Amino acid sequence: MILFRSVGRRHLQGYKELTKHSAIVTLEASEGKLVYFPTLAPNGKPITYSVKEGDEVKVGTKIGQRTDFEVPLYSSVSGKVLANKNVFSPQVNRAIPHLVIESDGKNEKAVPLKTVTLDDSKEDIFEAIKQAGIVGMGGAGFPTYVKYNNPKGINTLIVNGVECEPFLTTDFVTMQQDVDNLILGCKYLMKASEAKNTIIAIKVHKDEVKDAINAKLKDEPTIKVQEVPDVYPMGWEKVLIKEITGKEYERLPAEAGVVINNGQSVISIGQVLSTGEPISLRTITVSGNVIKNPTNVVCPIGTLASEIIEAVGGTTDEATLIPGGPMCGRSVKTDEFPILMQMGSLTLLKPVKIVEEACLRCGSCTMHCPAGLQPVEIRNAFKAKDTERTIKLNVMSCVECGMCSYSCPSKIQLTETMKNAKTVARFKMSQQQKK
Amino acid sequence: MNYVQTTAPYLRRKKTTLQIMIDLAIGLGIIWVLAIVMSFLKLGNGYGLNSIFLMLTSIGVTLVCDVITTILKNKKDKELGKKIVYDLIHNYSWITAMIFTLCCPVWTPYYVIIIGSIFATVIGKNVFGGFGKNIFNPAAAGRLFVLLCFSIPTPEGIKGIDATTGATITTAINSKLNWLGSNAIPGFGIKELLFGTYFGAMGEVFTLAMLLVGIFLAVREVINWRIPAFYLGTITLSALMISLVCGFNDPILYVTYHLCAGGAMFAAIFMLTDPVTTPTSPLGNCLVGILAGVMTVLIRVGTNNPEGVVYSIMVVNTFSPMMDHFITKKTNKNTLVKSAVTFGSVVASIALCAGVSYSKNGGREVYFVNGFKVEEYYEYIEPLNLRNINAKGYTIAKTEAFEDEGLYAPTYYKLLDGTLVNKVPEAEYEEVQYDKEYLVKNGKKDIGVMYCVKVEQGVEADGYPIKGNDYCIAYVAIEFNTNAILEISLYQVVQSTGTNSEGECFGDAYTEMVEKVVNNLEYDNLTPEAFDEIECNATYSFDGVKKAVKKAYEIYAKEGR
Repeated sequence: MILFRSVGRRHLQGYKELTKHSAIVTLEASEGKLVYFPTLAPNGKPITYSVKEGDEVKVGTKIGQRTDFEVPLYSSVSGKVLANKNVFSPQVNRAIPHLVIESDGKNEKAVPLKTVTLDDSKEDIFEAIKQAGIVGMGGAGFPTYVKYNNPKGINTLIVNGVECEPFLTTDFVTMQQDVDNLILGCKYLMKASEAKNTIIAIKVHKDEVKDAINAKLKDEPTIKVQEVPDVYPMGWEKVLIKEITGKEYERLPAEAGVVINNGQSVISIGQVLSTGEPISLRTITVSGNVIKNPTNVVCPIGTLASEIIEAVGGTTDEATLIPGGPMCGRSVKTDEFPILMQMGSLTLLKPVKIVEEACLRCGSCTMHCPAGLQPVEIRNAFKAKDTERTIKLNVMSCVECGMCSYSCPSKIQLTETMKNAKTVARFKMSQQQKK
Repeated sequence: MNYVQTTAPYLRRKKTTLQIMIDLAIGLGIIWVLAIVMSFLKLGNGYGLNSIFLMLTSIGVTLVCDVITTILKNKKDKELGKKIVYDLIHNYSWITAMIFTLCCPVWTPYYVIIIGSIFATVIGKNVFGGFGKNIFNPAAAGRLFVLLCFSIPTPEGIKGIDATTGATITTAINSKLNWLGSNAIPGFGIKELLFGTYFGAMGEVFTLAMLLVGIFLAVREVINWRIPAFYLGTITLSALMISLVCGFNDPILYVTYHLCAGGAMFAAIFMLTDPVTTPTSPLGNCLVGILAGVMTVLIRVGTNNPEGVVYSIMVVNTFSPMMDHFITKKTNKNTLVKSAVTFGSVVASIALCAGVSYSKNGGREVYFVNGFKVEEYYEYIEPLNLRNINAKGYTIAKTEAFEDEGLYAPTYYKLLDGTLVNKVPEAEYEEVQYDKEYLVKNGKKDIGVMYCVKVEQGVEADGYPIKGNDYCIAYVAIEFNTNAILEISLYQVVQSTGTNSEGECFGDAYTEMVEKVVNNLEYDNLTPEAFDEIECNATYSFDGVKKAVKKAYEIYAKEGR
């Protein structure tokens, strides 16, 4: 009932026109170009590499695997492996050793992976998804195959093309370009999850994408496009599933009979499963109010952000660099970090000094929290060092979407406080478990 | 290349706290302008200027208080000047001052405004640590302080409700109705109450204007709509239920009194919505609105206080931290429990208000005749439109008016508190049809019988100045069920002047007759036999009365009710 629940959404100015129709810049893997692969996964678990210094690799050669999930990594260029180098990693927020590959400019392709067709069994398709090494390309980087590991009671596959973060247009561009692979990916995933129908969710006013997809959906009764309101955070799973199916769930979308994937991940699935060539390129939006020529860039995975920013003409002014969107992203000091598969954008904004005022307890943060939390109460409890109360106030359900800080009229850094409160609460909970 | 690191998120809403306060100030400003216009138009330039300068004084005083507090707090700070400027704007005492002044009537003395403003700013806000940390609504604290410390009499020349006692609307409703009754109070119809064309506190009278401002502010997300909606809703439903259980004649007027009088609307829009002193969660806001509503109604009907709004604000302010403490669940969970708690509270509040009113009033509407509280009154139906109003009295008695003005009105009744009053003098008379029976009605219900007898002979001998075709009428009304005499009356129909009118003077004999009746009869022995035993010098007229009594009892027996 709207009387008691938070609204949890708000229309944000999208700034999408900046990059929506600008010409895409392609960065070739020319001779001497270096690409970097981190030795730690975003969650801090190590990645083991099977190649060593001096090895020759080709585009699509398996170079390593994550230790926590069965996600293989493939080289995005052909060339020679160099010595490990310490490079900044925005995911773990510090400099860590990276595997470095120097391109020879030839872009020779390795032996393709085993391909599957739609007639193959569910298990074969699952194995192929696992082998493809695809992670969620919306930003979270969650391995895609895990969602299809023997799912039960799935009715609907939702393709998330909402792209609710301001500035980002990679989904807009790629979903428009590669409709065939999108539909093919949908079919593979429906087969793997035994979903009966697919809903491709895109925001209203994205008529180009809608028309492009609809034009090829004439013979596909089980796939349809659904428009969702232009609000933030529409792209968050819970909000999107509630919007489309009306159902709410506690932990996993499967509870609502839904499996959900990012639009670009689905395209990649279609592409990799049908051709056997692993993903080596990534489309990335470079945008913001201090970028000279904001546009989308296609580059090999592992390219340094600095090269990308340079390719679009650099910045006009002092800037804050955010790998990701301006709401969820975390700004970094340097642009010397590689682009990973899950990274969809680089946002460069003019730094704004924010002056905090006293909290007037208006409850705007509570009304805007999509997770239904009370950030103002969590902040008060955190300031009073009452960790028990922050846990009681469900601080761990926070998804750090940034809505509380965004909506606060007193400009209080609520999201930052929530992140800190979560860290403290996590520590406290782990201590309690030990006891 | 290096980049500037700041914290997420990097986009912020344009709306700031300052903007919220400016919006609020605009809303308050509209009400203030209305108050100024009304003061100039209706009270002349003196009070018109007062309405402007009271506000400016209050704002000035609060700002001075802020400066002093800031200096005391940051004595050794090198950037003291900057801090003072910041606090002047961002302590938002100017909003407190505006609300406080609009709560006071335009004839408030300046020293009262100054003291109230100081209390509101210093004790109400700054001792707690300034804006955002105060427990009580500072404006309400200031208003309550001056309410308890100073009595602010209405100056002469202001046509309020009651020029003689200087009563404002709430004191009028309190003294005349005790907040339990739907009698019309002259000058306070629904129209006046909605448009605010009467005098009260500067801001609290413009109910309709405030409602519109409130809707505007709620749409602009300046105030939380839940609090006023639940506050006004609870008051409306409670008042409606009180009217039903007490059987008031005009529930709509009664509800209007509760909603419009005494600043309920002002509190709903500008004071209860103060975010600092109300809970932050949606459920807490709903509950606080309900609590404030029930407190307002209970203080009005249950106590002798004329006003409950400002107390209710202070009371719910103390509950806000508790609500914040206990409401820890996610806002999008347990909707069923929350609905049950909220609507359960609404129902409980309504029941509580109705119960208190019923127990206070015994399920009867209280009426006031000439300023006295009486239990019930009946309307006689035509054709005998003799008296518009008659009170139910259990003893026939005489009053001071009896001696002062002679035998002006021949009927008397006993009041609940034991005093005796005479009848409403404004009743108009038509040609009376005598030797006829009438039903006495209360609304649509028959409550008794009445009989009228013409007394022609020998009345002059009893001391009445009868001329020409003039004659007297005796009538008696008996109540069904109780067998009690509702009214007993003897009066003169003067036809010699060409119009039918009540006689001005009844002689000593009549006085004696009434005294005899009063002295000899009690509630339980008002029978024809008891009348027969009374001896009275006013033989002829008293015989007429006896005849009327006898006839009335005959009809009563025949009716068998």
